[in-house]
Order: sequence, then structure tokens, then C-alpha cells
Amino acid sequence: MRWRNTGTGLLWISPWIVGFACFTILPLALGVWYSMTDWTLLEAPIPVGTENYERLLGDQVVHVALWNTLLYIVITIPLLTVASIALAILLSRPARFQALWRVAVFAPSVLPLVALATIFKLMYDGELGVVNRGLDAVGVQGPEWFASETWAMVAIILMNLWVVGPAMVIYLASLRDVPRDLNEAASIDGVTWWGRLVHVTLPMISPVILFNVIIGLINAAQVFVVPYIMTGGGPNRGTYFWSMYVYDAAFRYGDMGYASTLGIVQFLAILLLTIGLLLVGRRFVFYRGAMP
Amino acid sequence: MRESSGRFIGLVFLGGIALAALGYAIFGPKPATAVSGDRIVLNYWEKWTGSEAAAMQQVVDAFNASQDRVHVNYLTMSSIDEKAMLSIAGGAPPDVLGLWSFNLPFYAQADAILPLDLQGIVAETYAPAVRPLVFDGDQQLAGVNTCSSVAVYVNLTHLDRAGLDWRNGGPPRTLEQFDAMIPHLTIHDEEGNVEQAAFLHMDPGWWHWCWPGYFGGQLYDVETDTATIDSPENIAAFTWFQEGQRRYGRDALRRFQSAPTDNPSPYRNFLTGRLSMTIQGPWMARVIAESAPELNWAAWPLPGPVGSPDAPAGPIECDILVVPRGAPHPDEAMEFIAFTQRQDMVELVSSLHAKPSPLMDVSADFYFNHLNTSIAAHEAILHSPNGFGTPPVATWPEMNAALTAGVDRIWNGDEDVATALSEVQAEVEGQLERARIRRQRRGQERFGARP
Amino acid sequence: MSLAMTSPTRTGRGVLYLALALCALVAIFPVLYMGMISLQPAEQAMSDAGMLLPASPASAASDGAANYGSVLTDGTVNFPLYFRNTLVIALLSVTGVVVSSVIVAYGFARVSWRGRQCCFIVMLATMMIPFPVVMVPLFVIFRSLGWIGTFLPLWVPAWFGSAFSIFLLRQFYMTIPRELDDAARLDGCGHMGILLRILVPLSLPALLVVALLHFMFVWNDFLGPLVFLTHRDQYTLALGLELYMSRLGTTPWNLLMAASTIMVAPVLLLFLLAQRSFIEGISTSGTKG
Repeated sequence: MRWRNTGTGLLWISPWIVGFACFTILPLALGVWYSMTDWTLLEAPIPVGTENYERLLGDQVVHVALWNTLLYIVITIPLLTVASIALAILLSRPARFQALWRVAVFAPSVLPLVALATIFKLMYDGELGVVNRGLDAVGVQGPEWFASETWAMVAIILMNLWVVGPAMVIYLASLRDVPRDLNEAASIDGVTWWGRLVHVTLPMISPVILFNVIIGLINAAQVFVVPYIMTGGGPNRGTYFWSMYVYDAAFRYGDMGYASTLGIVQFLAILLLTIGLLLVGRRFVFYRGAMP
Repeated sequence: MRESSGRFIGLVFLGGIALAALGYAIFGPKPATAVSGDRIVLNYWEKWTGSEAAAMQQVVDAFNASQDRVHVNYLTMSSIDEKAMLSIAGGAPPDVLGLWSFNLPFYAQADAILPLDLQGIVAETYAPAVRPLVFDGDQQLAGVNTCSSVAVYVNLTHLDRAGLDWRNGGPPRTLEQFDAMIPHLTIHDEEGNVEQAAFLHMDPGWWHWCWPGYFGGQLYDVETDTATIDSPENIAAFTWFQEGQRRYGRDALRRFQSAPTDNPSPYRNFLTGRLSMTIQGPWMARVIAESAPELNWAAWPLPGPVGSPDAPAGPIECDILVVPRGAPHPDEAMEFIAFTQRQDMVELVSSLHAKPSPLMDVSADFYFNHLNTSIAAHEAILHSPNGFGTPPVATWPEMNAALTAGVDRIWNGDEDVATALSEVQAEVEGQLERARIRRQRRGQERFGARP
Repeated sequence: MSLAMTSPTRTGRGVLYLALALCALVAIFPVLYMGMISLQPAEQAMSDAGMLLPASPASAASDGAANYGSVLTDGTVNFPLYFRNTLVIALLSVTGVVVSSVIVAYGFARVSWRGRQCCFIVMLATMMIPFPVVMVPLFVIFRSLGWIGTFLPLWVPAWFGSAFSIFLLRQFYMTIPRELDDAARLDGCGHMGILLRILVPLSLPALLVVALLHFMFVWNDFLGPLVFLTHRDQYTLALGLELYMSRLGTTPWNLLMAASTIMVAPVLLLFLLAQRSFIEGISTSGTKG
């Protein structure tokens, strides 16, 4: 009976199994194989063992791309977490035109990244951009954003604040699920607003924070479109990220073997980071089921 | 009730939109099929847009009118070198590709382009500097669309205002004379901001690789297949380059670059009279005519330790035409390329682009009434023994990426020149070594090693 | 709500509305900016004197018409065609995702079988694989199928389900009471009958969300078309916008913003129409997982 059910179950999910085999397992397996070949896009692959992996260890560009990507992750994720929780709290207050505020805050998140990056490229423009004109109006001389490694990175990271929509909405829904009596009880006990936030609300939504952080990590680790459009990776590779190196190695330098190596390593790194986060997160996340 | 009816209306709207989208998808615009009768259609990818594309379109039209067998379809592409590589690898390339001369070794090394057999055209058809850019030994690999050399464009009004006597003295003959002009052409405002800069190496920042050439250095030695990026000549060249920044200070220059102007193009500083001298290609004459016709300008070869007024130094680049491997109609593609190499066609495009002719034979009236009144400077560099192209290496895109990062460090003053160049040297040595191993594995000859 | 102050004062409410308005304005600013620049003539958009607002409504109308007209009739970048290409890919792809996810999610939600949990976790894990990782091998697979330079790589995979859509639908199916299935079964319905008569009609809002999210994903996808499409006539809007941008030298920002608006408008319109389902759908994915 159970086995017959298994047959039925597998039949129902068979479209996914086929897709999984063809568009996930096969590419991953091929990727592992290509990562052990010398293969230029325009010629046939030749097996070379672990040569590409050895090269990766000593590759200066890999070090730069890794550092940039890590820096980006480490700054972006806390920034986005704080911003999206703050916005969610603000938008959860009872107010008139609530739908309007939510739609306005969410809207930029549905825009195509190519278009959003294009708009921001103009907004950051040293001479025409509204950012520097605004700074000028308050008496601050804006930087030439894309001329300095630091400012270019800052520009790219700041742009993320406009795509907090999905995370913000998830927090919004989870705030709705925080039991009201907990907060009221704390409030009666004289706990301040901040105290209630830190000791009641945040622990209650901590599983959702973990979820969003993991999604954020996966997205941040493959950042590509925004720097590709805004800076092209410069100056001095200051905004050159891992995915851009994968793309360049494959389709600009024609080095598919090495590009596959970079891709496999990227996948393993994301996998390990996610597992690590889950393990660490488990110790801090408060699950309601575990309430005494 | 109100809520559900609102939802219903929303759904109806969405359904309507979906239907409209479906209708547009089915009945919307289709790609224009430029088939004329039963002609063979050649797809020709080119990087130019705007008036430069219009000029090339004239050649295409002339070819289409010259016979009734083949029709060429001109298509502009962005990031054409990447798209070209992907299309060849994917097995769906166009018939003719318009690339840059610096792409050629990469494609040639991988046998991704077909050797050309253009009846009656030999190496001697082209100017000497052009030959190595499109030939591997005796084998022609590409046709030449247009050719440019880079000269320094000078705002003569600024020179007059600064009391520099170019009318009698002529252009600067040495680098010292050139450098000596700079303090006279620099103007600061009361707050110490740069109001007018004399010359900026990073404006427009398109030819990072060119500075060594003026100092007799090179990035790569073809004979020995070695990188020579940290050679003394190159250190001298990039030290001069870095002084160009130190003269004003990094932050002052960033402020200068971010100051508002009413022209957003990469040419803005020169066109708006904020920069007295800038290196540019010959098309600059067209840009000035379009955007700042009142500018009083001239173009001179940039003097360097190596060049002389008779044989000036300067970078040379070609726009080339190749037939990719797997092209559906290679014979017709070559027929078209041969047509574009006719002297009248080359001169038609070159004159509309305001560029010099890449050919040895130039018709009497080509330089007479040329769009670029300083075309003589570009012509002199093109025909000079001191003109130079990009290093003929298959790994040029990687080499250039390494160099660009190093140049950024030098310009920002983060590192001294020797350190930055030795880092680039190490990176490029690795690239060349890998390329060598790759060739050995495949038993290939190096590009350029052919006699 | 849970953090609402017990007795909001007048100033408290003032501060709240000020904060809300400020956040909304800052968030929506890039969109407004894009729209405003697209309604200005080149000289205004590109000069220091260029203000945020067009000079007058009349000038906005005429300059806007000129800009959008110029974008839509561009000789090099054929936006109407790219609009159609993007729609073709999006419609095929969205239909595929909806059909396949409806079926697969049923297998995960309503059939109990050995190994289901394991498969489900594997499926969730696939959401972690970055596209750049499989990009190169996928290129090879599609090349050997002769698909490079066609739309096929961009929509065929959608017909085999997308992990996120399956996950979302399964979550939704789980909220539909099982008793309904049993009743249907008594009426002689098989699995297919239960799915088509009970679950699909009840999960229409979720299907809408799946369709919309996938539509946006396809509409916004840049790397996929960049790698798999070769011919300019096949470009999607995202690539067209990049092609348009690549005409450096005389970057016409007013035209570029008009082109961006053309690309953004459909998604923005869809979002506004379906914003309620949309926001609900996204929050389902996060909280009940």
C-alpha cells in the first residue's frame, strides 16, 4: 500500500523530477566535470585534474572578488534586516491609507533590476545626479560616486534599500502573528517601547529573521546585475563581485573550465554558509513550540 | 461584499490585460525580414550606432545595389565581442562580424574565424601599421572598415589666452615642451578648485595601454612571448601618468570631474572649455562640429621621448570585418568584405567617420575638404614607424582587465608606479603561462609566431 | 499593531504620518524621477539647470510624446519588438510554471508517500543554487540541443516547475481542509478530480500570486537572455535597455528614462492591480514555512 502510494507520489511530482534532473543535477554534474578541464568556449575540453582549483587558490582576482562579495554580504544583510524590520514596524501601525503606504514602499522592489540600476546610475551621476544636487543643497559636496572604490561600493549597497519590499512584507505578516497579550502584559509591567521590541517582538519573529537572512545571503552572494550596469566592476575592481568573475571568465575570456570551477566553489560556499547560519541561528532563534 | 466585488473587478482587469498581452504576443511586431526576392540574406553585426552606423549603411546599400544575388542586413549589437563569442560557441553566428583589431588574436587562436581570401588584396594594400593588425603572416584574417590613430586635441583659444605662441612656435616637439605648457593652462578659482585643467590622462580613459608606447616601452614582447609590463620605459611612462594626477591632487580632480556641465558625454570637459588638451581619435572632429562648433581647435601628435615631429608616436586601432566559424554563407560574406575593401568604399566610410584612410593608395581629393581639419596629424601617426597597436595576444581581454585595475591604483595614488606595475606583471605572466600550457595541450602555434 | 502605543497622542500621530510619508516618498522617488526625466527635453534633462519637474504640463506632454515616440521608433533598438519577445517568453513560461506547479504541489501536499519529506527538502535546497553556477553547463546543454539563439532555454524549464512556486502552492493547499477531499472522493473523484474540482478553484488567489511572481521574474531576468539569446531580433526588454544604454558618448538620459519607463510600466501596473494578493502571497512564503 505504502509503496503503491510512493509510485503515485512520484508520478505527481515527476515534472519536477525531470526538471531537477535536466536543469539542476545534470548541470551541476557537468559543472564539476568542466571544472576539471581546460576548456575555452570555442575549443574542445581537455581534462586537467585539479589544476583549476589550484589556480583558484593563488588567483589575486579571486581574492579581490571574494573580499568584495563578503564585504557586500556582511554590510548588506544587517542593513537590510534593520531597514526592513523598521519599515515593517512603521507600516504595521494603524494609520489611514495603510495600503497606499505599503504599496509605495513595496513598489520599487517589483521594478526590473536593470531599470532600477539604470535610474540609480543617473541619480548617482556626479554632475547630473539628483543625489549630489541634493547633497549640494544642504551644503555637502557629494563624491564622484563611481570614481572611488569605497564610494562605488557604498552606492551599490545603498541601492539595496529600495528593494527591501519582499523581506519587509514577510516581517509585516509575522508582526501580525505576535500575540498581542504578550505586548500588553509587558506594557502594563512598565516595559518601555524599546524593551518590548527587544525582549518580546524580536524574539517572537526570530524564525522569520533567520529565514530572511538566509534568503538575503543567497541573493547577496550572487549579486551581478547592479554592479554590471552601474560600475562594470571598477574602479580598481573595487566593485568586482564573484558572479561577475564567473561571467567574465566564461563569456569574456572564454575560459569555461575555470568559470565552472568558480561556479562550483560559489555553490559550495553558499551551501556551507547557509548550513552554518542554520546551525548558529538555531541557538538564537526562539521557536514558539519551545515556550515553557 | 465590497471587498469581494473589488477583487472581482481586479480579476477582470487582470484577465483583460492577459488577453491583450496574448494578442500582442501573437499579432505584435515580427522581426523585419529583409529578404528581397530569393536573395541570400547575410547578417552583419556591427557595433556602431547613430551617424557612424548610417555611414556603414551606405556601403551596405551600395553592395546590395551592386548585384542581385546577396542582400546584407546590417544589425547593431551591444557588447559585440561577448555576443560574437557566445553566438559562435552556440553555433548560430552571423555571416559577418564587425570587431576591433584587439579582438583578432583571441578569435584567430581558437580558429573561430575563417581565413579570408579576398581576390587581389594583399598586405601591401594597407598602410604598414595596419598590416599586423589584420594579417597573421601572409594570411589575411580580417578586412579593415576604418582605422584611427590617437592625437591630442587642443583648445587654441586657451593657448592664446595663456599667451602660448603656437602660431609661430608650432606644436610642442618634446614632452618637456608639452609639460611646460601645463601650468599656463591650469586655472584655479578663489577657493582653490580646479576651474580649467590643462591635460588629464584619465580623460577619457579609453587608452590605458597607450602611455608606454610614447616612451619606447611595450606591454608584451612578441618575439619571446613575455610580458614586459614593469620595464623601465613603462615605469617612466606611468610615472609621468601619475604626475598628471599629482599635479592637481586626487580629490581636486574628483571634484573637477563631478562638477556640473551642460554636456554629459565623455567629451564634456574638452567641449565645454574646462579642459585645454585631451587625447582623442579622429572622430572628435565630428563630435566638435555637432556639439561645440564654435570651438577653435587643432589636433597634434602627443610628443614623447620616442616620437619626433616627422615620425610621431601614437596608438592605432582598426575596426575590422571577419567571417566567424560556422557562418551560414562564408563565400558571400567574403564577397561582401572584398566589396567593402574597395578604395571608394573605404574612403566613403572613413570620410564620414572623419578618420584617415587605412589604405596605401589614397585618392587625390580624400584629404582635401576632409571633415577633420587636423587629419594630417592622424595620418602622420598612422604612417609613422612609431605608431603602435595593442599587443597581439589572445589573452588581451584578461591582460587589459589586469592593466586597468593597476592603472586605477596608480592614478588614485594608492601605490607607487613600480609596485603597481610589478603586480600587473605578475598577474599577466600567469595569464601568458596558462595560454602557453593551453596551446601545448592542443599542439597549436602561437598567434603572431607565424613568419 | 502589536507595538501600537496605548494612547496615541496628537504629536505621536503627526510623527507617524510624517515618517510614513517620508518613507513612501523616498521609496517611490526613483520611479517619479524616472518619469519626470522622461518628460523633459534633452537640454533640460542633461543640464545643471535641469529641474526635477518639467517646465510646464504642456511642455511635459509634448516633450514626453517626443521622447517616447523617439524610443518606440528607434532604428537600432526595436522596443515594440522586444516588448513582444518578452511577452511571448513570459506567457509561455508563466503558463508552464502554473500548470506544472499545480500538479507537483499536489504530489507534495495531498499524496502521502515514503520519501516525500526528503524530496521536499531537496527541492527547497535547489532554491539555493545560484544561476551563475549552472549557467555555463546549461549553456552547453542548450547548445547540444541546438537551442542557443532561440527562446526555448528561457521558457521550457518553466514547464518542469519552479521550486519557489511549488513551495508556495503546497503551503496554500495545506490550508485547504482535507474533509473536502474526502467528500469528493465519496463522489467518486480520483486525485485528478480532487485537484481540478476542489484545490484549483480554492487556490485561485495563490495561483495568481505564482503567475505574477513568475511573470515579474521573467520580465526582469537579465542574465538568462544575455547568455542564451544571440540575435538582436530576439532581445527582451532588459537586453534592449542595456543595448540602448551602451550607446555611450552621448547618453540621452531623457530617452533612457523613457525606455526604462516602458519596461517598468507593465510590472508596476500588474503590481498595483494585484497588490493585495501579491503582498499576501509573499508573506505566506515566509511565515508559514
